Amino acid sequence: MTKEDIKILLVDDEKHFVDTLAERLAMRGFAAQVAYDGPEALKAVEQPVDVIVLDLRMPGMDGFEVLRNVKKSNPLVQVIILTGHGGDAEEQTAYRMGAYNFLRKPMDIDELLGSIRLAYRDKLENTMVAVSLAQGGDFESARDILKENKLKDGSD
Amino acid sequence: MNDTLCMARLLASAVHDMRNLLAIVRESAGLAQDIAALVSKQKAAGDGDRLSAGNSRISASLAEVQRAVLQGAALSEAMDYMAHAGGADGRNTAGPCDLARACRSFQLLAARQARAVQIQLSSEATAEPVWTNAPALAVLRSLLEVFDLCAAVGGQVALHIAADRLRKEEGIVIDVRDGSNREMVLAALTGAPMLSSMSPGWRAALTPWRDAGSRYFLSLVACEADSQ
Repeated sequence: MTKEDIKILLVDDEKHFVDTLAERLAMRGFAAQVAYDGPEALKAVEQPVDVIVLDLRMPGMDGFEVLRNVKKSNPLVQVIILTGHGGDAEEQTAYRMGAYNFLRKPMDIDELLGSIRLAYRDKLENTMVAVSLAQGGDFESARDILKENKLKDGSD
Repeated sequence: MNDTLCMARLLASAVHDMRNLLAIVRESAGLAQDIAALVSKQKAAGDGDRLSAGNSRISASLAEVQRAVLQGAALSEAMDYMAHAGGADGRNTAGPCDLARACRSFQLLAARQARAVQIQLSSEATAEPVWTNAPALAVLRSLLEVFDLCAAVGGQVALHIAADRLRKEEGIVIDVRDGSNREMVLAALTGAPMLSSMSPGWRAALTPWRDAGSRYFLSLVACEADSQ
């Protein structure tokens, strides 16, 4: 498994920021797709995605709504919140909704990469466990694994 | 709306923008560093074409750093304006207030909130001062109240704010320009002529501006304190 295999989606309405971040990730061997708003992000996750780096405040559909939709349709996808906005309440809400990590701008690219790697590793582990449980006929436990990665506030 | 809530909302909006600008500065500077490292490798390898492409990308990144720093400086100035309007220097927070500067500051401070509700906010970048005796913070609060009226009906409109005079009275012209929600915003502003955010002794009112159907005049009038 090489680092290029991680399918990353960057979602932010700050076009220059997200384009530059994608370029810097590419220079480190991580190809990242970008989306500039919520609907574009939801369209992008119709294709396989491993880790989403998601802004919270965006015009129209905000990051929480994107997170809720992603976790509903693709519970194993890991979502890292990266925002310029956010007090403790937003952070708590994001974790409750199933976010993997909550980072604030401006961040260090190596810190972000570290978080992406960890999120991807956890996603792989969760997937492997869910698959092996299902193959062994333990569908209930497999479903629990999926549920754990879904909304944690019961609103799904 | 009280002073604290007004300042908290505008500050949160401004800080969000400031963090985004710092993120752009950090990423652009980081990209320039990354490319510079590559360029020095290419230089050693004698790859002229890639060297030239790398150099122009570094220039573009540094130009973006400069743009973000300038925008951050303007935002800092607006935050400083609001801090002093709120009494940061320990002086009386009463006027005089340059309405042109208040408009520019408000545009910068509320920009992030505006983008969130798809309101395109603009003001005159180099307008002549229009002085009033109204307290600056109360002017910002009135503008935020007008903004809220537009946001409450769904935003999605372009608003231009500019200091002006109507019958020798200083105030702010609110021009509702393009946008898919323009009619709703016009209706909201027409139906809410009185604003409640002024300090005691001042009254803010929104009236149609001359004959122009899409413009309103936010007048700031001294009045008896007990009439509030």
